[in-house]
Amino acid sequence: MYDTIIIGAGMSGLAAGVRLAHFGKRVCILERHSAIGGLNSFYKQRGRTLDVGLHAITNFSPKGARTGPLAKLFRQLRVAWEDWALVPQLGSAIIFPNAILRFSNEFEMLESEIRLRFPNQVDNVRRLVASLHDYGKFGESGAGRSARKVVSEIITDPLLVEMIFCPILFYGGAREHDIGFSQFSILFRSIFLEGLARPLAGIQRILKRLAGRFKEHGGELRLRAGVAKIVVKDGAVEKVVLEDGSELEAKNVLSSAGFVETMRLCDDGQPEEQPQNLISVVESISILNASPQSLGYDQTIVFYNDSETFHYEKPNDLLDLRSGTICSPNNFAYPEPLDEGMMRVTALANYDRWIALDKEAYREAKQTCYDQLVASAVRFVPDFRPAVVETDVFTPRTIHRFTGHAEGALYGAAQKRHDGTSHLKNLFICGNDQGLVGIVGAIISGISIANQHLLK
Amino acid sequence: MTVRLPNDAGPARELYSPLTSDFHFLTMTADDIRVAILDILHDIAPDEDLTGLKEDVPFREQLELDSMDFLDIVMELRKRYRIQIPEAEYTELASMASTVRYLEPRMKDIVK
Repeated sequence: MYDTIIIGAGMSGLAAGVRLAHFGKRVCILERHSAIGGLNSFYKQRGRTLDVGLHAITNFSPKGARTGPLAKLFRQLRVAWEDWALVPQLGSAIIFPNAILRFSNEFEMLESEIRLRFPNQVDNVRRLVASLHDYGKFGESGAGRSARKVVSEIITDPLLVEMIFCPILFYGGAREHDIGFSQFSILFRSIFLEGLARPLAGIQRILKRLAGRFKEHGGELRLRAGVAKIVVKDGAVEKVVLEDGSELEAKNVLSSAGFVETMRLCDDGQPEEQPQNLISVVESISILNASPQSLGYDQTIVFYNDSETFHYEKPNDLLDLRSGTICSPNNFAYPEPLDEGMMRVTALANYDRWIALDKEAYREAKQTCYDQLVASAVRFVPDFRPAVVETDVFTPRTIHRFTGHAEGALYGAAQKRHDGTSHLKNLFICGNDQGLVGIVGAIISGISIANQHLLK
Repeated sequence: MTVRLPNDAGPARELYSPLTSDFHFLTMTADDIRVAILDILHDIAPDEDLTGLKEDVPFREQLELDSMDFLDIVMELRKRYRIQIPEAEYTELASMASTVRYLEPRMKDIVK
């Protein structure tokens, strides 16, 4: 009998596991996949280790910072700064037709860019920053107010509103077009006020540290251990049945599998939610024989959109070529340059279209979409195609395989469960579907649900 | 004559006097408690330099500890010394001085 069974060895599940095991709880993490990490995993391709989802870690704060989500996370997980060795971004940009806003980890840069391009909005942007919710307000009543509505009342130039929403939604919008103002606040702080960074050794190092710490404290991590069923009795989880038929008992179950996905596992016939148009993406990875900087590209992330209106929606086609994000893992302030150049381009995609393809059509679609996506991206950045030596593409199908998320949803369900509770008294939810986003958000989610519900 | 039992004899590293058949425990002094708290703070915030930590200034001010951190100090004390601190008394852990004052009577029976 475990104290807690955790479903999923992604960032949130591992973080919760570290907290619980550290304080002497008997914990087992069940991971369906053969690798840990979920959306933030890594894989090997022809000798290279590639990150699955990572562009950058948000919420950057420099060494020695005592406040903010990153400092909180480090303390809660007993992490020293050097364990992660975060390297700050060089600088990023939001590019729309006739308007570019560059930003860095110093908010003054974005402010001065806004002063140049949108001089009459400078005070409004300050008002917006002043009205952002604190992290502490997360999940409180009114937190779900439409961010589009709130922001449009403050910022009166529609183009600037679109440009602000482009990175915000790309980095955390689970549903189409809009986001709750509380989540908007978190994302705005995470990306613009705190900033972007990358762990020196990629995501692999963070994952291995978390898993290592979990095991040191006596935690049990089982890979290829998919959960087939959560058996419910008298308003509580009675036991968890694995796909191989074995049964496990625990006082509590913490699921990072997603809310809808977790409800489907429960055998008490929970009503299915109405299908939502959840956001999924295609990402192309290009390995280069030169550094992006030698090709004239020195931005860390570029968020692009080819018209004055940003359409954050599930496209009708395999992918949406109007907008996207371009990331070069090389363009962080490393002490030594990385061995190889790499460019990653991401755009919105339609899960249903990808899942309907047969094997041959899927392979062809990946190739076609790679070409289209990169051709779309090089409208906004130097054409790196002549330097490409190897490519890979991941699709909504890939995301589904790594995360188990319905519809290959990048940021989980549209409706968030901020307090992590469910209809069962000993079943809790953490991860994407608690509403926090990004790597830091996922980890904080696991920590806070463990603290609130499972450590008492 | 007293005989020190080896460390691996268990948590009670007591002094045993064969003459009186009596146990004399080496119990925690204020200084021991201070060291224990510093050890916990070092675990929670490994990057902090704690050498200049002031006795009477709240941890909250010196290290910007928040409620999550205080909860962790409480849980570490429970984990390491089996001391239960009721939630209403968490405020007693505000500074090093108040923490030591609060813990001294509660830890005096704990063997080192």
